[in-house]
Amino acid sequence: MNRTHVALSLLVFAACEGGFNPNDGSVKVVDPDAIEQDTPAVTPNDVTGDAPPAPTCDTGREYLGFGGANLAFDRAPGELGEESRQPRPFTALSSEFTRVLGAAPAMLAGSESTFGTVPARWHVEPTFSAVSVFTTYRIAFQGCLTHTAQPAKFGVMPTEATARAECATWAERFWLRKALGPELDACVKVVTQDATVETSARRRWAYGCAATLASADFLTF
Amino acid sequence: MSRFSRRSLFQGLASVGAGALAAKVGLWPRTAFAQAGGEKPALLVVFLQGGYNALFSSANSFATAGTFGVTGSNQRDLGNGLVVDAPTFGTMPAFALSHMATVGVRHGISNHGAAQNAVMSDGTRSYALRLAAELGGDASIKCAQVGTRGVPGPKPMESGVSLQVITDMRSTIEALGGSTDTTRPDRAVSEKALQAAQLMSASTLFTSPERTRELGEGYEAAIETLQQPVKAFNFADLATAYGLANNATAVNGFRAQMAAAELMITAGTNVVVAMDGGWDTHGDRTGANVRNMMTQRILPGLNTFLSRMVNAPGRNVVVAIVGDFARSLPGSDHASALSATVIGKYVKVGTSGRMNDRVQLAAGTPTAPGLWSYLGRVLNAPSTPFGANPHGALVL
Repeated sequence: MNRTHVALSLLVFAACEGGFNPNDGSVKVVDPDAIEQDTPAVTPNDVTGDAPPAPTCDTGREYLGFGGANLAFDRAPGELGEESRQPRPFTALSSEFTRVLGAAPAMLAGSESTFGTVPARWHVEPTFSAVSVFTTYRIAFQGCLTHTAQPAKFGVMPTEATARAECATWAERFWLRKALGPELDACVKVVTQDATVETSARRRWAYGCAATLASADFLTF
Repeated sequence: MSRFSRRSLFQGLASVGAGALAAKVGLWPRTAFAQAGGEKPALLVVFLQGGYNALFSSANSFATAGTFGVTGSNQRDLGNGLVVDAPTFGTMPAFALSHMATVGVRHGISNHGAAQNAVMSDGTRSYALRLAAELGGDASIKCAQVGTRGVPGPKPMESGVSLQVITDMRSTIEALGGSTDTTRPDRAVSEKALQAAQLMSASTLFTSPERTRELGEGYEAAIETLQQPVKAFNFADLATAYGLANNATAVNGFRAQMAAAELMITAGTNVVVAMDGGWDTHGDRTGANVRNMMTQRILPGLNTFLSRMVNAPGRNVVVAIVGDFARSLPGSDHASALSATVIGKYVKVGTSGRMNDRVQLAAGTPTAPGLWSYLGRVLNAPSTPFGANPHGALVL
């Protein structure tokens, strides 16, 4: 199974669970059969035609501009939660590394140009590229080596159970939400399978930590 | 609370299809292409944002009236109707001067945004990305922008090829495998770790597909880069050649952009775009302003690139100098056509873009796809995604 299929499977997994909240990672499990059984009796008119729209809150005021033009005429409708994430600028990434790891990795200081130096008094919409993704991972790995350097628990080779517990802790700290099952599986696999060439337990842990930090929930807000 | 429902996810999957969805979130499978010919083709596009004055590429258009400061003595006749500006283009390496053509682009647009988009895209697809995909090869980064100034026009992925932004050469060399840091992570494990990061990102990339598009494409290209054999580069050599300080790895000036272009082309990139701003030169009636910018900012780095890359054995490196449009007379305002410069091994000296003395191209001169078709031809691209080449007389 290639990367695309695995990722799409993850999406379908999330989709099948009913309601997925990308903010906190919570998934509301819904059993379609139960819904069917619990649905009260309906009249024939209710069965035919389009389903009524789902209840929603006020999705935004409209404003009239000069000449009475509706300034919201080209506002694109979208799902709540859609397109709500955007890449963190380098300055925000720097402070986030400090927040989650307790100290800024040394590599951060000389890395600003990799993310595109922003001239003073200008705003440039932050983006990522192959090189900045890799560099973020390198910075994360360096920070994670420090993060795993002292605690005794990282001096012991990870097991499935200890890796799962630590990956869950990292996700909650780095992403400010709980990890979904497939996300946890991906982190656990790095620590327990992919990094086995490393003889140092602390470096093995660091790979899982860095992978979690290099993912979109840390790189965007 | 943001809530993505099962229904909306399924609707998304159904409406865009699995392949398109994969592209949307940057999850294309790795794509391999056949390489055409024995020489490795590559294109460097130098885009002068604001306008590209035709005094450089069609100097004799202005000699009779003496406009834009063109005189009988500051032109250089390269033959076959091509006359360029002697104080600037006349300083280019001899090989470049003997393999240069002016290509007309009669797009009929005189506002900046629309003209820039028309030169670089058909409105929905990027010419640079289409050509980069067409040229094939196995480089992980097939199309690159060097520097922070963005390439105009839409840039959706083409057959798995995305535009990657290069803003620092040290970190780029490190990503390519050139690091000597003993604490660096293992490359094979890092590839797996980034695959895990990509998987952990799937829900976010799905829920914000437009705003995180480049991040998704970044994962894909980063993973492919780690799958490639290590390529060692020496920044000190590049710095010496391009007159950069040994620690000046940021791509924050035109010399650095040219050094980064050489780095990426050497690493296998097919198409590199270098944007340079400040060319909206209203009031520059004598052409002194654009000549100064060309001499002081562009040519030092560009001439180094030309001398090191265009005639390099085993490569077929083509350079195209373009802009929004030419500058009109008398006040150096906006013309509605462009006389682009193309330099390369298979470029025959000549012109299809000679402006008249009112900065207009002849009726029937092709639009931008004609230029890109020509670029594909002189790059020996395996096919012609932009239609038949209308500038056949300019091919060796």
